[in-house]
Amino acid sequence: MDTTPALPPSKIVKKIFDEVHGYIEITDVEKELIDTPIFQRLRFIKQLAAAWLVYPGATHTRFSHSLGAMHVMGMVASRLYSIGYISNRDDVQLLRIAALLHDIGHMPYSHATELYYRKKLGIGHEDLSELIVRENPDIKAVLINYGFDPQEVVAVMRGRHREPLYNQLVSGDLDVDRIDYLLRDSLHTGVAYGVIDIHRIVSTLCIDGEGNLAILEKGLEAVENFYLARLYMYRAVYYHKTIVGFEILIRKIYEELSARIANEFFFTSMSEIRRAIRDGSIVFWNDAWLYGVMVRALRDPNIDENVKELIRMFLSRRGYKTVIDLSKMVSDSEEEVRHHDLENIVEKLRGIGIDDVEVFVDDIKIVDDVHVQPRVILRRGASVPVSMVENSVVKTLPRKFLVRRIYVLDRYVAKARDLVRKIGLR
Amino acid sequence: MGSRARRAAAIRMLMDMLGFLREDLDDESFKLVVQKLGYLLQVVGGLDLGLDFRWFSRGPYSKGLASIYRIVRDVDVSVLNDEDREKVLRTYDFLTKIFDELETMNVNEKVMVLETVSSLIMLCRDVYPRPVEPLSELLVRKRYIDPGIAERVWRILVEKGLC
Repeated sequence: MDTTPALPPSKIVKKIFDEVHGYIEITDVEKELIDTPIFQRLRFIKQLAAAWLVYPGATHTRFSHSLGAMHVMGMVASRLYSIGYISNRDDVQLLRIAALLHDIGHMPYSHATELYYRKKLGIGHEDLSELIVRENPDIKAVLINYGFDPQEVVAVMRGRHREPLYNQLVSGDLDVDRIDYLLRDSLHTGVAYGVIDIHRIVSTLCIDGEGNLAILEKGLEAVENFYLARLYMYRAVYYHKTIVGFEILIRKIYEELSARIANEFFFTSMSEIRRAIRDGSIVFWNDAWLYGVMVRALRDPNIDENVKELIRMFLSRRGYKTVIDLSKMVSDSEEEVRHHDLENIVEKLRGIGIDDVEVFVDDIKIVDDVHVQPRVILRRGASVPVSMVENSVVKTLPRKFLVRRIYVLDRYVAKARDLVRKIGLR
Repeated sequence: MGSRARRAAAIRMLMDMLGFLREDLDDESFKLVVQKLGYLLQVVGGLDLGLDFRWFSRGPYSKGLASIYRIVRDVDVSVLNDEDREKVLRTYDFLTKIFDELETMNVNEKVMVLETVSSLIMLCRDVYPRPVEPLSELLVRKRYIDPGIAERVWRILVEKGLC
């Protein structure tokens, strides 16, 4: 077995201490990418948008998560290189770069504003990440100087690399992004259920006969733990009812301010975004910018009192509150709560004078499709998707978390809950 | 763009026309058919379903389709407008010509042909770095694919200008 380290030691130029992984080694090309203003922007975007309003420690950033994802990718790719499943040593660096840059396009307050841009321009952070790698002069220059093709980096990031294994590492069920953020978010929120055994997962990774990412059977418990951790974190953090309520509030504030204030960073078109990426000004588009806009709006006589009230609510931690929560975990075959059931309740709320009602609906996969699940190599040599292993916990887990909630502003919540109680839903 | 219902309706219409809904497909094959038809509707039919496809070991895959498996069989296809239906028909014509030329009779062969067609097109157009020989690339990666069928599919795709 070749014991050559995956990355030549001479390429390591720095170590950064990370609270999750300990020392993270950085190569020359990675350091130059990290030092670009557009990457440094990620220091000013929180990983979990508004979660710190519920878990005060959740103030970690996209910056540290990006380094962490890169580090996890390095562990995984090095393992696969050492056992012969990655043949080109340069591809280990390519994969690390793709993991490092995968979130570079995140927006202020992350997913809170992303929904706004998905509706307005049909784009999400992945599209912006691709655009940045292709068009930001600083990022392109570093990549090209070190012999990396920006288009190939984008291909890995978007899951369209010629090598399907690379795409599984970035966007499969058990990918490096998830591994890092579960560990990181669990640590910073204090939610202990998100802890996973990363070393066991990495040390039992392999590839099956058809080129799929797989785990040796002795790593099954670590993978089961990964799925359970994900399930608990979805419920306790990512779709926590109060956190979602604040994300809805931030999105509303963003919508209202962008309609009323002329600011170059309230982008209205792709060409504006492209310009900001090319001239580098997009580095200012972060959480701190939006916070500053909110504070200035409070003092602006031209801004409606309604909008100011929304901002004051955010600053004093009075967000949208749930009126009814019909969320549940389901198997594939179970009946879903239909959207129109929620619409009926919304009509009734509007009927008693509550106009500002938000319906939050999302279907979250706990266990993904068999085509993207890791496979388990059983003793007799066959590989099966983890959810089909006979005695696996994953086989019995719910497949989805259906989130179905109605939110109102806190001044209406007593009246709204009273109505819901009267119609027998609480 | 694609709403969930519109995506499911387009795929349902195509599955129905190709006879897949009458067949007793196992779960994995059913999902595979949905994925590959979704890809071909966009790429061959020109129907914008707003789906982003990634390249995995079974070919093109979109997470956006994973949420519609349960509703495909029962969705109401009247959500499709005339333009959508034309594009579904275009995809149907393309696939039936291939099935007819290959004399594909049983459902398992059809599923394999779907995987082969969609994978070759994705290798030709959407993956990077582009393989010099997409057919050889496919056969190396998917040893379960019949090489004879793959070669015939390849020739058809080259004739149609898709590869």
